[in-house]
Amino acid sequence: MSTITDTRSTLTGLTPLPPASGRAGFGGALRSEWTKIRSVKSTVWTLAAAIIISVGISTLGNWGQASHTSLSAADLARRDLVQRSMFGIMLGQLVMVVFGALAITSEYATGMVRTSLTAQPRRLHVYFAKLVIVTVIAFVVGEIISFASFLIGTHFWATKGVDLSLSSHGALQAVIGGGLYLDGAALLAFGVGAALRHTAGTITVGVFLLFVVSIIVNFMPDSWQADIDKYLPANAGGQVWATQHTADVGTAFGAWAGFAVYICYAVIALLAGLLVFKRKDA
Amino acid sequence: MAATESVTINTLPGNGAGSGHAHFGRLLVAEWTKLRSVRSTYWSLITVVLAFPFFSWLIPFLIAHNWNQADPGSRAQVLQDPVSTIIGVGIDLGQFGIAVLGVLVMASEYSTGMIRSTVLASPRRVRMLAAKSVVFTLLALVIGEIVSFVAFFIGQLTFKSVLTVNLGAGTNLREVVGAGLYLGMLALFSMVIGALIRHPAGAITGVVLLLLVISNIIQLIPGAAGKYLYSYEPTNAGAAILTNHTSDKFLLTAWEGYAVFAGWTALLWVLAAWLLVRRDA
Amino acid sequence: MIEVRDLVKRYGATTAVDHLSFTVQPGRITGFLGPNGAGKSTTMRLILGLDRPTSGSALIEGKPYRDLPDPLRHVGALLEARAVHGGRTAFNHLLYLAQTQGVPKRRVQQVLELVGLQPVANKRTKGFSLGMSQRLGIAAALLADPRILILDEPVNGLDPEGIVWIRDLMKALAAEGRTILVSSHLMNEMAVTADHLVVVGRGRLQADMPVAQFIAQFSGSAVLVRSPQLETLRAAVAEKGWQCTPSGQEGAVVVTGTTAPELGELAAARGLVLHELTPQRASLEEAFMELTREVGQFAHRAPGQPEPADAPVPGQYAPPSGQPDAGFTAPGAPGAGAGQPRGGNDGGH
Repeated sequence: MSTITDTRSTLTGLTPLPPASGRAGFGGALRSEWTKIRSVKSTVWTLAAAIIISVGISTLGNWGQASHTSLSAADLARRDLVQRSMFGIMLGQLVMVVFGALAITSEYATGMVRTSLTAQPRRLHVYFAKLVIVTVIAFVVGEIISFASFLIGTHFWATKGVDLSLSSHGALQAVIGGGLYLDGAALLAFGVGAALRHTAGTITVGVFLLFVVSIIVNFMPDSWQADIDKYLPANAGGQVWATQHTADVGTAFGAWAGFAVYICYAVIALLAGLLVFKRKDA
Repeated sequence: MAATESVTINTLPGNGAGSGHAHFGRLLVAEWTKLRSVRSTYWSLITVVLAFPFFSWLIPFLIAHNWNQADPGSRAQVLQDPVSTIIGVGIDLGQFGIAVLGVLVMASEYSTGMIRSTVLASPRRVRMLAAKSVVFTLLALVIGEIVSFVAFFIGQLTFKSVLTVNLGAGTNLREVVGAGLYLGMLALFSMVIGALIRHPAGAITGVVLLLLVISNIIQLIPGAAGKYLYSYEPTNAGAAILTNHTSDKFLLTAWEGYAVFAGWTALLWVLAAWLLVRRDA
Repeated sequence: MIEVRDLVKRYGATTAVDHLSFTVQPGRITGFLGPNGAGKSTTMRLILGLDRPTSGSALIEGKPYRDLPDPLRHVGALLEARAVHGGRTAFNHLLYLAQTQGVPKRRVQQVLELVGLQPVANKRTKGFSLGMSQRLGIAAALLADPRILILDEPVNGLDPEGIVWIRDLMKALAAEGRTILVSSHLMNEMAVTADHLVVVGRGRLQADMPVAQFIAQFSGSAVLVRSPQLETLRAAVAEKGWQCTPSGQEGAVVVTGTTAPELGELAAARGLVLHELTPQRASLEEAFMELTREVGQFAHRAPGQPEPADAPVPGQYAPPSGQPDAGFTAPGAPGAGAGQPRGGNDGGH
């Protein structure tokens, strides 16, 4: 209990506000979106889960493979061990989808979007501020995952006589690319989420695009596979975190061309989300 | 707007007559009403009903189209288990509709706060969970069986020009029936995960991770442990009923696998029921 | 009848309900009062079996809620009106509840009609206003013709017409011999609705008595006196040890610590002329403020309040009887309310 002795008139007890400095701007929108994201338990949990699950699975997978392989060091060196070391990204992308989805759909689930848009009626400000925050956070978390996975993985492969480091051929690009790939997954889900406004639906669509489409194509005849395969989001985007770009079937894109295709999916989703966010009643 | 003129309403007939505890049958009807009165049910089921048969046409169509150019190895693969070829992709996709719906059936009670109305109406929470389980599992099972048979017949017709698939041959019937059984059990399994996690996004992520990723990467664990974990992972075990062959990494027969899946589901169901009673609504 | 016996609910280190006991009798409206966080909602949730008590029990007609056959036929409850699946229509929301109790479908139509929601019966509840959601919640509570009603803030979001409607409804239901427990923050509403009060603060029982008794007990007696010989009267009052405070009206003061007969006798004994002698009745709100000030759950600063010259020493309990409320003064009196010291209201302790 506190005793408040200063009870002058209405609000004089409060520190006076600085004078209003024009319109609510993009800087304010950015700060408010950052506060929203960091102050909610589900976001923090999702990101923590992304890191723990991805790095954990990378560690487990590399330990298992390195300790059981019958291949010689020379054979191993011909494989894309850089990509393999970041194996956990396969799971991490799913958690990133959940993060990207929740960043926008949770506003609809709670009805908070109405508060947000009353505070900042210029919807593009809100949308892009959210987008910037999601992009930056997903990038940082993504890079933490890819670097941690890679650095841990090198230890296991070193026991097999394979010397991997960031200065290995293409390694730095692939490891940075791993984080970028995860970032792309979050952005894709963010766009879909803005368009669908439904958490479960968004996660389902994200899972479909990143995982399930590949399963379907796997069942197709080889001649079809070769053409379709490389355009699938996961396969195109996968090039940026690989050091070898010729897939088993057909020819794959190069690292950055593949990433560009991958980002196209995200951009399409983001544009669709933008239209819905701007036009549709909140 | 308000009917201020008539303040009292008719007393219900038979009230206070102590018509016994909320009958289980009534709970079943109520759960059925809940299920059919939200759109997510239809959206989720439509994905199964459309996607499963569509891919059971698409895959055989593509294979049949390329049959003459295909190498003998690919052909042998199809011939070894034609039913699996027909239903495999469809069920891989269709199962997500069922799994997501299963999670939502329970988790959306919490996300909307509706659980409080639900347990006020049926404070015997385990009975409520049982009623929900029965209604939803039956729905998924019935739809699963119908869709599986439709999908099979579509695939059978599509394959006709290059190979004959007989429902009565080998394990074919078991695989088709098994597809529906698998979807039914997966429905209950996902519902239970929703009851345990109580948060739609979290529970969906959990189920999808299990189905897509954990079920596969678990085999990377070295040694016999990996083999056991892989075989006894619930959805892997359950999916054994969908094929007539298993890799040497897989330790269970079709029905053993299904029993393991059912066992997991039962175990988690009991846990969910216990927590439902213990936790504040 | 609802019986709460020695009920305790702890969430970790926080005790939300602390050895609470009371009964709610049929045939009258029992108001359930307490400041925010006093444990009202938790108590209602415990009565309804939503939460498990740490110890103690809450019984409905002698049974725990979970053991009631067809519970909605015994108890109708309105907790949070928004706790419905937004994708489901109002009709279907009530239908599945009705089905759990074996209540016929036409009853759903009837209650929708009763609360005035029939035009939107087949609309999804996502688009409902707060008032409409509240009406839907009331419809759900009345659905199975319960003998007991537990309503948490039922007038929340209702328009004035709706407030009058729910008040009349509760009175009519109480007159039929039903048990009604209703919580509200609106004291004036409670004053005209409730017959009996159960007041909690910090999870403990603070009062359990009829409304009139509550007001009498928790507001000090005060008398407005008008006299042409005011200064002499003041001196006489001071001798008796009673307190005089300005009334805000010319030629009148409020005397506290006494009653009108006593003050009248004093004036007669001294031969003083009185022009007016009026006992002051406190409102339920004032009585409640007084009680909760003692309990001191949440202290607020009063907005628009001038710093009084005779502000009580911080931390020292200022008896409310020493400060007549501005509300006592006649409306329209110049400066009424604005210049009144309200020492007891400045933040508690």
